[in-house]
Amino acid sequence: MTDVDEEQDHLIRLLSPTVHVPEPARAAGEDLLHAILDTGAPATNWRRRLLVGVPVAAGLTVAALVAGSLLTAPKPANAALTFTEGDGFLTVTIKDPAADPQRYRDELARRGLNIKIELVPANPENVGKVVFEESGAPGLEPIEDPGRCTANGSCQVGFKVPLNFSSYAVVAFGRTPLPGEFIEGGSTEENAVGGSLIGKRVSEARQILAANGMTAEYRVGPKSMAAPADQVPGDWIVFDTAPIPGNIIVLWSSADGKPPAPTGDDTPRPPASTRPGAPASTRPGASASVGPGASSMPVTSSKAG
Amino acid sequence: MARAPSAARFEALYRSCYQDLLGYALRRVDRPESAADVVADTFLTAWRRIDEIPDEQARPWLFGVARNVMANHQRADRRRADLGARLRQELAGATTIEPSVPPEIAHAFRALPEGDREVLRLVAWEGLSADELAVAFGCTVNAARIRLHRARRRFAEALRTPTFTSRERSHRD
Repeated sequence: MTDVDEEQDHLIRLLSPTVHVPEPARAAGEDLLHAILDTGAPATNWRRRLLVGVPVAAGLTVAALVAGSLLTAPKPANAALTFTEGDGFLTVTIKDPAADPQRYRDELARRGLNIKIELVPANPENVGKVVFEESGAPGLEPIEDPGRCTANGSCQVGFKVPLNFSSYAVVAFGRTPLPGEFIEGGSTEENAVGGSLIGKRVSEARQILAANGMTAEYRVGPKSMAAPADQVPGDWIVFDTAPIPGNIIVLWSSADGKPPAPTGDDTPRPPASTRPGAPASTRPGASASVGPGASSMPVTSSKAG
Repeated sequence: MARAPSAARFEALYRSCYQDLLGYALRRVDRPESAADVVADTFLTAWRRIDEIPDEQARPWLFGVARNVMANHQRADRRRADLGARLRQELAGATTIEPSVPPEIAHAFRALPEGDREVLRLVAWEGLSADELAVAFGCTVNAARIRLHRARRRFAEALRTPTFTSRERSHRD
């Protein structure tokens, strides 16, 4: 690192916000540790990973939860995947993200490689990029194009695999969605609409969605329970959103626009009990109730400070 | 009951990186409560993939997961699990104070693409080396170095380019 770099880092450090974490959050951290360990031993089949926005290094896939519906069969078109063989490796990059994946699979199978190529609907910046990779053993190396990175760091446009790779792998490239096809995690536009609703009243959110030809689904209460529209008052405030298939935005809302605190029981609270002015408000900073993942933990009464 | 080696490793990893990950998340999310979900998702992923975490590079690996968690809000799935519920509640009391810095620096930084900003923040705020950046981004060391180099160059250019505000200031001064 040069002096100039050091000077830059110093300037950037000046921009770092200072965070003050209340003391109970440390205890909650212990709570979380045990809750995670209580989810059970690591599963051996935990290898399928969505990599939207994140490239893959050999033997290292960065994870996000992925719905099983991701790997759906795309429509065939002209094939255009490039295979280059040399030095005991096969290099695979994509030229036409609308091509038929079956041909790629055949090409790989012909070389004795158990590697499945998928094409999945993706946002424009991820078209032609590797968005998902799963492998039974290390061996796949990313081919990157640093000139084509997405805003959040995905540069992988292909992969390189040793010809003697004996395990299995699934690699998904992003392709242009078909008209009306749902992009896992939502399209840029859907996320923009969803994001714009946060902090708005439910009544206003409904109008905005209608104006965009979209509809709402609702989640309420500490357990994030589905609720019909007529049980979600128009004056509630949206605190979170997520696009789902069918041109639908899921709205999480509450009377005060804050995520409800967990209650610790499994009974969904009726929406009426958290209307404005009702006694069952969820006040941040109040003594913590026990969350669903931590039913054995004592209730802490320490004050945030 | 004796714990499996993987549980012991996870616990050690959790204890050594929890504060760093929480700070990382808190500095990047709009609401402090959201940081609880980022931390919970990140460590849940780490636990489930404990055998795949590189021994010497666990910390940047976790940053890589956290980045991805923030980029892919699978909120519905997460809320069903709701592991971070208590932490989310406690973090409602967390405060984030934006620093007071010369506006030229803030302008120059804001003018950069988000990808550049994140590279620079990971280095300056989280203390990642170029090699560790490669782990966090899941790219090759060479690609990470190129990205860092380009981000530094663009930041330097942005600092040299007077913004509207800084021109105004210098005029006034």
